[in-house]
Formats: sequence, structure tokens, C-alpha cells
Amino acid sequence: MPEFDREGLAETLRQINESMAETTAEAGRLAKAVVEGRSDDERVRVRVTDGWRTVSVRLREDTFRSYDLATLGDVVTRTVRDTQQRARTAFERAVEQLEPAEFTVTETGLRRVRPE
Amino acid sequence: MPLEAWLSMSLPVDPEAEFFTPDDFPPVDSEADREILEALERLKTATYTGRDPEHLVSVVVDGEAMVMRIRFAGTAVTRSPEVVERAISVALEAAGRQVDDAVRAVVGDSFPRQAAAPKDESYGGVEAAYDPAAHTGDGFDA
Repeated sequence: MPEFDREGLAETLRQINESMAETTAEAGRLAKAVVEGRSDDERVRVRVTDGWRTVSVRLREDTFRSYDLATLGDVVTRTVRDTQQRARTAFERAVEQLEPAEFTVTETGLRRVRPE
Repeated sequence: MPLEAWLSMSLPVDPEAEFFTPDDFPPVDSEADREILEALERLKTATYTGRDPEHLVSVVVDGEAMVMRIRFAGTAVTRSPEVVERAISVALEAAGRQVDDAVRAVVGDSFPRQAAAPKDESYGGVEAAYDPAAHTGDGFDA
């Protein structure tokens, strides 16, 4: 087994950790985006953030007079899920477009420390 | 952070690469890794139910915390929309915690924890904190 540059490897691993932390932080910022949705009659409004994990629902004052409970459940379910789906798709696309810095650093760093 | 994003940030290390020695990185336990991945796949197809403390709302989510079903108890119509809105959020958070707990049971405590949901005692304060003056003309709170 050839000798390799241990100090160079340590530095590369440090850069990997650093770039992964940056990517994680950027993904966290992307997750803070808020996506809004409404039922067709606009009695139910939904806001989704934290990727698609955090959901808040607003009900118009006349909501309970306008629906029976089963129908209201269906309307809220559909509105929440549709909004979650849009938020999730947007978040995942944004994360995919993040510069994969850790791989770039890995390739560069390992090329440097790889024994000739 | 969603599971996929979290997992995608795991750094694969190839122990067979010629510039590493076996002592530098522990060998990958492919059998254990496969079992974890299979367990995570099973979690995705499971369902998790969350409720608010008053059982006004029940929420069923899948293993990726996507809502599958929301149902209201008959008593929900006796409460203000603001209390029901809050009950929905509390039930959703409860279901989400179940998803996280299930994932954590597979991958361990390295899985990041979601922010804690409000405690039961704060739930009762929602209605008291409701300010009618904050309503907007379109029937929603400001």
C-alpha cells in the first residue's frame, strides 16, 4: 500500500465537514420558504413551511356553517395535502440545485493527497 | 429537516479506495446498512395518527409526514374556528413527532429532532389569547 499524505487527508476531511455544514445550513434556509394554498371556495387557507413539515390552517368564520364535518375534513385534507405536495416539490428541487460543494472539495482534495 | 435531505448529506466513504488504509475508516457493514434502509422503507408505508388534547381533530400522516386524512369530532362545531385551527396544528405536530420517533428508533439519536409542540397547558390558552379585533374583513384573522 503506498504512503499517502495524512496531513492533506486531514485537511480535505476538514473541508468536507465545512462544506457539508454550509450545505446543511443552506438547505435549512431553503426549508424556511412558505407555500400557501386555498380551498376552491377559499374558506380554508393553508401555510406550509419547514420543507413540508409545518402546517398552519386558517378557517373562515362561516366554515362550520358551510360544511358538514365529514366534508370539512375532506376539504381540509385535500387543501393541506396539495399545499404540502407543492412545498415539498419546490423544496426538493431547490435542494437538488445546491452546489454539491462537498463532492467538489473531495475530488480536489483527494487528488492532492493521492500518492503518485 | 426532512429525512431525504438529511440522508443525502451523509458522506459516502469508499473503504476500498487505494489511498485509505483499513485503519482509517471502519469497514462498511453492508448487511446492517441494508437492514436500516429496508426498515426506513417500511416506515414510509406506515401511517401515524396525531390528536389534539381535546380530541377535536385527528390527523393521519404517512411515513413522510404527508397528510392522508383529517377528521373533526362533533364537538369541534362548538368551538371557535381559532381553537379548531390550533387543534389541527397540534394534531399535525403530534403525528409528525410519531414519524420522527419511528425514524429515530431505526437510525438512532443522530436524527434531528423537530421543535417541541406546545404543551397541553398552553393549548387551553389559545382561546383566551384570541383577539377579535385582529379579524380581517374577509373572515380570517389578520
